[in-house]
Amino acid sequence: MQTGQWKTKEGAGFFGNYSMKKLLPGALQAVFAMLLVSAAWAEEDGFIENVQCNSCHKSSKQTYLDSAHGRAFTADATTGCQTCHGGGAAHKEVAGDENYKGPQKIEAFKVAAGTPGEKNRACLTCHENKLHANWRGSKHDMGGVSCTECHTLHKAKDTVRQDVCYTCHQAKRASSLHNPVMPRNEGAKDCAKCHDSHGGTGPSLLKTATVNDNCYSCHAEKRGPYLWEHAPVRENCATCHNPHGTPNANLLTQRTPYLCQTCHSGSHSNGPLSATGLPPNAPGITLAGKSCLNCHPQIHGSNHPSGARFQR
Amino acid sequence: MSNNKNMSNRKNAAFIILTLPALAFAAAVQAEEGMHGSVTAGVASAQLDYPSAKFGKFTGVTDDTVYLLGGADIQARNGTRYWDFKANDLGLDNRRLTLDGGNTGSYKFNFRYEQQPNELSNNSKTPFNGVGSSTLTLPAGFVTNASTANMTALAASLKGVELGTKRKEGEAGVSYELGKSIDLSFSLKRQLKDGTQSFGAARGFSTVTLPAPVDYQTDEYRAGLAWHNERGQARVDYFLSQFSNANQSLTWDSPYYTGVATTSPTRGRASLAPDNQAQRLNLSGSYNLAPATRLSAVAEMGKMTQNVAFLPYTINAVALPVALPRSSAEAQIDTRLLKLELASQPLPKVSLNARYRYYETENKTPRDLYQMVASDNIAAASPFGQVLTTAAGALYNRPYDSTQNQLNLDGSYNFGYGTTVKAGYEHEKKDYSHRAVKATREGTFTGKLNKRWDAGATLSVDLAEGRKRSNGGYNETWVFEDMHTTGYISPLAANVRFDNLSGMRQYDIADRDRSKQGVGLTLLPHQNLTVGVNVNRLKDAFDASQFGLQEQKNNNYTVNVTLTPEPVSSVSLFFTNQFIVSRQNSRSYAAATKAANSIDPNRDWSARNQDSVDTIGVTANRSFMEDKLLVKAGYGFSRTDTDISFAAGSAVTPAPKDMPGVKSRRTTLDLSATYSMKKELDVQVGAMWERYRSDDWATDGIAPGTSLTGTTGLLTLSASPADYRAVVLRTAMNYKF
Repeated sequence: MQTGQWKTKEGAGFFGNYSMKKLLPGALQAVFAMLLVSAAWAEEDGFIENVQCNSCHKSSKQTYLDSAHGRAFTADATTGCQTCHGGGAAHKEVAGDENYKGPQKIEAFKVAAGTPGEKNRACLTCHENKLHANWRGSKHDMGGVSCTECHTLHKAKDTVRQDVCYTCHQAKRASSLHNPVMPRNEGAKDCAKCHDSHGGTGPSLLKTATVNDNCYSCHAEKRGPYLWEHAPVRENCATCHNPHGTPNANLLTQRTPYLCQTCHSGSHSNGPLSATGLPPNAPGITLAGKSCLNCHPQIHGSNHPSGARFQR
Repeated sequence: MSNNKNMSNRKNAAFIILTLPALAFAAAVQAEEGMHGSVTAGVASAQLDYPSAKFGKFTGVTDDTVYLLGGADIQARNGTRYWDFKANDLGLDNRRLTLDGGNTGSYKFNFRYEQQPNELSNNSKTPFNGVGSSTLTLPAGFVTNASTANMTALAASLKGVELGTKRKEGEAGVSYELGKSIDLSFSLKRQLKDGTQSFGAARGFSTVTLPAPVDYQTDEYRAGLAWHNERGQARVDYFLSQFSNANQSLTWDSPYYTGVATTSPTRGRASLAPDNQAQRLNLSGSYNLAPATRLSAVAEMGKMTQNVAFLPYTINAVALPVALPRSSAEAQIDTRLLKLELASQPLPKVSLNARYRYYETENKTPRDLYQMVASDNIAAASPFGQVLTTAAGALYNRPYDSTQNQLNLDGSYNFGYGTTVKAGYEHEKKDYSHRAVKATREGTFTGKLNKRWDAGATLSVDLAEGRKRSNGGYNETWVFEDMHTTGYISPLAANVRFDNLSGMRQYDIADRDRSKQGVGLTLLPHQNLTVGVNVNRLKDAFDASQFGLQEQKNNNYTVNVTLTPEPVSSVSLFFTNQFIVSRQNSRSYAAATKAANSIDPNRDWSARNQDSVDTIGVTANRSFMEDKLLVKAGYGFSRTDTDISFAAGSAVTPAPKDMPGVKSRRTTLDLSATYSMKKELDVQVGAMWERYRSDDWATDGIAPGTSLTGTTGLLTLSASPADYRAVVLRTAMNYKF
């Protein structure tokens, strides 16, 4: 065994000497710049009693009362509708006018006017904390997604399931239909099981800090740690698996043995495993059945003292 | 099969009998203020031309059966108090029940129970007795031999074995608000998973696929304390997960026993997933420094541990001259996460975001030298026997560490009229130990354009370009020297000191150029017609890799059309094509002539792997009789084709031949009608037809005991494809209150 070979040597790579130490001061300067130019743009309007809203918007009344919002605002006669839509006094003044053309002096979240940030402002007034603490700056926030693109608020239960996600993430819908190996269409594993669309701690809006932590929530047997670890497995399950669906067994990104051969050219894996080797011809054992896993079943790691090659 | 199915049906019926009274009770007390919802009960019949685990993979319906349909969705409201009860698929093995309740602004509770089968095969065969246990024995009279062709009693010994697992999960949680600014929460979850799955066991170049037991239990506990006010929040969360496996090892009689125990052991033994634990302590906080500027931070410390006692090197009784260096791995990985984020909207049209992330795994597992007894085989002369203390059989374990430093800077500007442009840059540096690179750096530029027209049409364009480079070079020799003993390495010539070709680059740490483009366009050419097109392209190029993955492309496009010709009817369809291509290189060499072969370019070969997938979905709805009758039709089709082709140099013998195509075709047709007998009562009838066909050279025609050229054996579990044609008829009543 060689010693001392794992010390990181800072070399001039593709990025030269561009390092975190140089980036961080710039980032901190940016922080102060943002603080200096930040401004509040809150706006107030006259409030009326909610019963006056219901006198015109009859169809919204019951579903609103059954919703979480309805429960939350039961106690206060002047909040409710106006908490999100803004004060209704001016709206009431013009709504009965024969020339009234639509929303006026009231927040209407479905129309294109206004930035997503402006539309989300009303929601974040209450929902910025708790489960949505990571919304601001998240991929969806920066991508210009407004809350109402996914949520329907005047509804007893606003259940956002995978169909809503598929509106934008269309390839994910297709991958759930062919050769599915994740029960997404049976209802048990919808997107929200792994992802927090409001901004998760991990990459790709995952709820957990890493891809692996997320996978371990159902596959704790793969967690180890093992005596013999397989480096890419320990680092990221998605190195070999695509959890959204692939044509291959076990959600592998590529069929075995070819997936294995993209990294391994050892004594019995360096040759082309082609149709000439299909059973009964040699080396059929590397192609048929479980392929490489015929002999290396513990590919996620082994705790056997002789498990270095993941055979036991 | 039929006994199991009947038992399953009885369990389903009992489950519904127990559950439906509760639903009926709920319906009966509907007079209570604010209670409403719906209850569904019915029956379905499934007919399959062949039993197929594929059809019922996630429902348990793998054969002809009649099952009950049951479900409910009930809400009750009384002022700020509420409860929601939901039940799905009560008559199937993937049933789910949830109950949420509480008093808004005071407390919440939730209970969840769900089952999830994962059917793998119902036409597999094995000669082993003891399926489901950790000891598999061959039946009396079984003739063992080095070649499956000479296992004369194999055919008579084969018996059916069902492969698959069933997961049961229960969860309960409660949270309580202490005043307006403090929340307490606690939850616990138990997950049980049992069944049988396949497990490859090698003896030299022969292998037997075993039905291995699955009997797992995972308990998770979460506790949280949160404080928040109008400007921010702080949280502390604790997470504990304990995994236990009822079977820590699997022992089997070797069908390849040749009568000489030292070269051909009578039994084999492998370790199975060891018991393990994980803990995480998470501190997080967010604070609005200004109304449009928010600072967030997350700090998390985690620990994963595993210390199950080692099995001996071999199950054979022969004493080994070398003892285990320790009695257990004492495996431990500590993780540390720090994430800082500043999001600001300094001007109404400008959004800025800066994020720094640090994530480290420190593997504290002790590093020792272990002997390699690959097949419980203790004879030095045999192909995979151990050669104690001197040679390739002794290996050091490698506790991998990694550290990630990542910085993201993003900004977006809203031009008004629904137009937003976003640009960003991500810089990532990763440090590794025990691998062929010491560090990598990656920089990625991103750009995005969103355009939304008042009429509803939208356009989005996404671009990303990234370059990853190793810092300090890529060297396979580091790995070779890290895992082997100096006693093994020193006598070797310098040009054969490798396990992997020196030009091989493992793609997760190799230099890479990544390019991504995405375009989405939604048009409304008519008020009743919506047309959408979505195109995504991803290309990874590994130009610096002589061997290994060279290039990977993952492209897809989708066309959506929704037509609403009249208020009572709608038709929507989508078509998606996915095209995934990869190309890999390698060089063929023989162990005896490793030095010369490994530098001979005439021994180079490459493989091209192409996956092509088409998916079509069509749904049509129409209501009649003033919306009293709703008729739905659905059609789904998916096609997957995998083609693998080769090219090779003149010295590669035999010349490689392209693989036969791997195919699957699934066609589904579903028709249903819902008639509203009265306001509270709907009657539903439906019929579904589905067909699945597949070709796969890895399994088709590979019977247990397939003979192979030479001395190798392949004793598999299954040879039958999972093709099926299924018809499901269903009828149900839905009562709303």
